[in-house]
Amino acid sequence: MVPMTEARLERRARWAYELGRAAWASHALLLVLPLLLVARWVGRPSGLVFILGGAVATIAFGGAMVHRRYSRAVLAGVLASLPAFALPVIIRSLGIVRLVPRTLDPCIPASIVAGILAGAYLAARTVAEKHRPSYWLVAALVAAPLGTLGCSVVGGAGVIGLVAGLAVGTLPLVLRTEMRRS
Amino acid sequence: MPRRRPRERAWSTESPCHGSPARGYTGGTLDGQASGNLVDPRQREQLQLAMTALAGGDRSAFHPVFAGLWPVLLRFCRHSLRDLDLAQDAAQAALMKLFLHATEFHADRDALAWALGFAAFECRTTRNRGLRRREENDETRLLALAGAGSSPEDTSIEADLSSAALEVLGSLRPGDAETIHLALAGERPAGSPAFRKRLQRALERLRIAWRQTHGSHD
Repeated sequence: MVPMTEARLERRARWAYELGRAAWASHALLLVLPLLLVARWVGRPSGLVFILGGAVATIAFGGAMVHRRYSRAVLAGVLASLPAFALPVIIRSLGIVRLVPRTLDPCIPASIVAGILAGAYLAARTVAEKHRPSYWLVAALVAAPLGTLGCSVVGGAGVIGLVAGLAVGTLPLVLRTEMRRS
Repeated sequence: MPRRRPRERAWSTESPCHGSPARGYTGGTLDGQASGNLVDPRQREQLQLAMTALAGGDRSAFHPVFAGLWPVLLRFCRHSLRDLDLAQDAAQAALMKLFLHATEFHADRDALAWALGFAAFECRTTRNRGLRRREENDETRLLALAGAGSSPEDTSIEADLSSAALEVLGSLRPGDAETIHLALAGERPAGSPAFRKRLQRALERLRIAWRQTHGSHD
């Protein structure tokens, strides 16, 4: 090996560290990519999967690369998005059900419920963390697009329902934090 | 309720092992730092905290880890290999591997022992590589000796046989000896039946003379 100054050695060591970190962060993609394949398999539009999936993959890799807590946030986001991802698709596959004299697409309430579940789960996980805002933000940035892949089967109403549910689910966390501060 | 204070860093930005940035490696020479004493428990604890923070992704813990581990690794390799150049190579390789795998470090492991594990592996690899190279050189030398010519024993036997053959050849009649010399020198007349007959008789007499002088196989 070529003799080198300590500064150069430190630079090389830093590169080695970042390289190892990138390799480790790539594991986060193993969580995201299968969901994107499933989204394509259930017939979600390729453009939507490409755009939202690309955004999620970038956030997941970048987050895991930056810090381990964000890799935990990515995992929480993926888990939180599962009901929103699956419920509307499952219900849609069952068909429209008649609840009242007018027909109602059950996917919209399913999206809201899935959003609330995701928000509540993220809130519960965020409480256990030290850096709450950034953790929640990364988790929500992963959960929302992945959930949208499922909720968008009913169009914009499903996505709005998901986001509203996510906000409602997170509300207890905000209230609790505010109460502690006060 | 009192407001929580911002999280304080548990580890110092100074070198955990020496209280200052590492100076052990100075472009090919070692100073006294690399041959210092063992890491004391407080510094070891700081190194542990810095390594844990770095594994989590805290880049500000990089320098304390580097400054703390480099002299220790270098010292370890130097003691293990007893060769300054080899020790520097091994310590550099160990340091690179350590940082490459730093993300996989778990807080329940001992950071120093973990780092020395890399160094020990590199030292063993370097030593094995040296042994292999030496073995290859020895084999090459032996092959060169074997291929250079006959052994002293063969040369001695050959010389004895030559002198015995010349002695027996000298006891023959001059005509027979000349015929055998011509045949050995490849100067026999082409397609001459008389020469072939003469050579046959000369060889017969040579065989008889050899048997009389040195005995026969029977």
